Amino acid sequence: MKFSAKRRKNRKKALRTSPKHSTHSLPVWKKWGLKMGAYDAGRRSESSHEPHHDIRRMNDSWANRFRHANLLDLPFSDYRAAAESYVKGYCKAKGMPQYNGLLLPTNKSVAAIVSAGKDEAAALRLLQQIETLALAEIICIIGDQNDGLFDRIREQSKATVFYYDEPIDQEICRALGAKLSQSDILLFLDERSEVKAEELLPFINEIEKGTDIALTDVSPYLDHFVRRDAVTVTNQFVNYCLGRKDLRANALTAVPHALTRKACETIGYANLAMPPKAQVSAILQGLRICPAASIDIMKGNQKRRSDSEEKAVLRDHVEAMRLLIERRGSRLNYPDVRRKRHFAEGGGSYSIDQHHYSKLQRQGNAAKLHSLH
Amino acid sequence: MKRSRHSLRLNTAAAPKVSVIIPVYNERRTIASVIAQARLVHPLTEVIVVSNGSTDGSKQIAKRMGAKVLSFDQKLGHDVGRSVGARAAKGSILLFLDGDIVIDAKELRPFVEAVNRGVDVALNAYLGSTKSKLVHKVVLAKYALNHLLFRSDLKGASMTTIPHAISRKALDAIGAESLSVPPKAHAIALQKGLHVAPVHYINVGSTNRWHSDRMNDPLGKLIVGDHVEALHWVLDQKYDRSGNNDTDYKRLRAIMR
Repeated sequence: MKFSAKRRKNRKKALRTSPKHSTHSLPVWKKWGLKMGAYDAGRRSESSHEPHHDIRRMNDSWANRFRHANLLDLPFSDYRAAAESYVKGYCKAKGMPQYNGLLLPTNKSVAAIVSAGKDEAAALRLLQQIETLALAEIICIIGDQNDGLFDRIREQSKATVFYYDEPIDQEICRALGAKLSQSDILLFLDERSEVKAEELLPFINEIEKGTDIALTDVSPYLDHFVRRDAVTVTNQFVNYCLGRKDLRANALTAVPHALTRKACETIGYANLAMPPKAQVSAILQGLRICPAASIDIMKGNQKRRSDSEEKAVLRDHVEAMRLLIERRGSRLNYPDVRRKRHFAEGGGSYSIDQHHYSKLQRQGNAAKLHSLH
Repeated sequence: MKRSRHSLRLNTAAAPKVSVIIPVYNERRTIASVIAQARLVHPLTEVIVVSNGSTDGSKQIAKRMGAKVLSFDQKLGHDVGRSVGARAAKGSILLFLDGDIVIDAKELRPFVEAVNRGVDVALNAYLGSTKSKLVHKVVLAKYALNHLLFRSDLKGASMTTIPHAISRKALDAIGAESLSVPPKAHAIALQKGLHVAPVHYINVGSTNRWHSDRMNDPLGKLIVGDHVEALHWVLDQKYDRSGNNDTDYKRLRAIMR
């Protein structure tokens, strides 16, 4: 099978983020959205003249309406049609200026934390994509010494940009972004992600269902085991040791992923900078973690980590295992009850048997000699 | 039983160069051939069979084949025979085999030759099944341990797998008792900077041998536990070869403040 054909075949096995067929047609959703938007606008009190607040309240009503109608698994095209029409109806009824962001299926505030640095064009493209969502905050942390990037992002996007005095890894960018943000749900991305805005909705959905950490499911896109990279293999091993065979190779080392504020605080912001350790900490403390959507994050070979980046992640894995061993013992849940180790240490006794053949025997004599030590 | 010419060859207990160590529990169908081949790896070879309470005549066969048989009346547990055999070994090169896998002498010689050339731990280059997306927990553990010890180049090669050969220097560095927990011996060898390398490929189908019968795969889980124990040993050492963990952490704390 050609490589691309295999990928396509695997996409069918990917986590379905929305049902195959719509329950209603597009015009039906549009009509519904328009009607609900206008109705909800009327029920709310006067607008506060602060567009930021108004949009939040509109999203709030939308989220309630959405949850009430049990629409969590709607296909994206229907969702967008309904949401856009809702906005139309609501803004018109309220007398608000038309808003062109995509409403999110949650009452909670959602922030996107983006680490940027090396690929300027990709970073700007990504920011453009996520700006179409009704996010409460977009925080961009620049991890590389790229002077122009800071200015260009400030010019071309609505994101709040930060950079640090020295070059920092993207994992540290994530931790810093989480600490700086004030939102309840955090979406972590980096410029290499190249995701479309709609691909982020399932992560929010998963959190709405009660999950604390929503991961990307990389399973359908993985190579044969022997061709996998060190980080993927080690992720799977750590998940296995945690008793989470079901997670396979999915881990916080891959973006995008989403965390609740509670998850960030439980794990600790510093630990967020070591994703494997964060994952162990999360699971040991009973946080709910599962995959939300399958995304091919390795598309195009430029996504692969460099040797030094890989080594850095492996060092984090060592720390993750250190934490796990501290909590659950040097053999975790796999005790050694079978071995009689004192024999290995030279204890115990045994008998030694050995034939000694003399030269006589080689000449055909039958005499057999044996001595016992 | 066909008596081979080899059984009459002079035994070289006196000053062997190579000690072949074979833990055995009831392998009467294969043990004669295993020993026959083992004796041919080098002109000065001793074969040590560690019998874990064998009751099917394996001991007698081994003795007849010229091996030195160390007899226990009980089962010692997985791989404990390796430690016991290693303690009794007199050679400067130790080759470890299993009693139920017959391997031709010419396939075993590369391991001995490698150690002779200066390799401290000469491993089997067998890596398990190559075309699957699923992986057995033991294969996963072997690969992961190598990655965590920053020897991704070794892939799935491990002292868990036979055949492998070690130098006396390696035996002294690792310690005979650690050979009972093969992943730990592997980790010690890497941590102490011994020359560890895969030198020859022998398909031993290692993962299929046990997991077909037991539902729970207790042996597989034991081996995963061994790998974690191995990692724990490395973490306990003051200076692990991954380097600079402390400085990274301090910097991280400084940034996060």
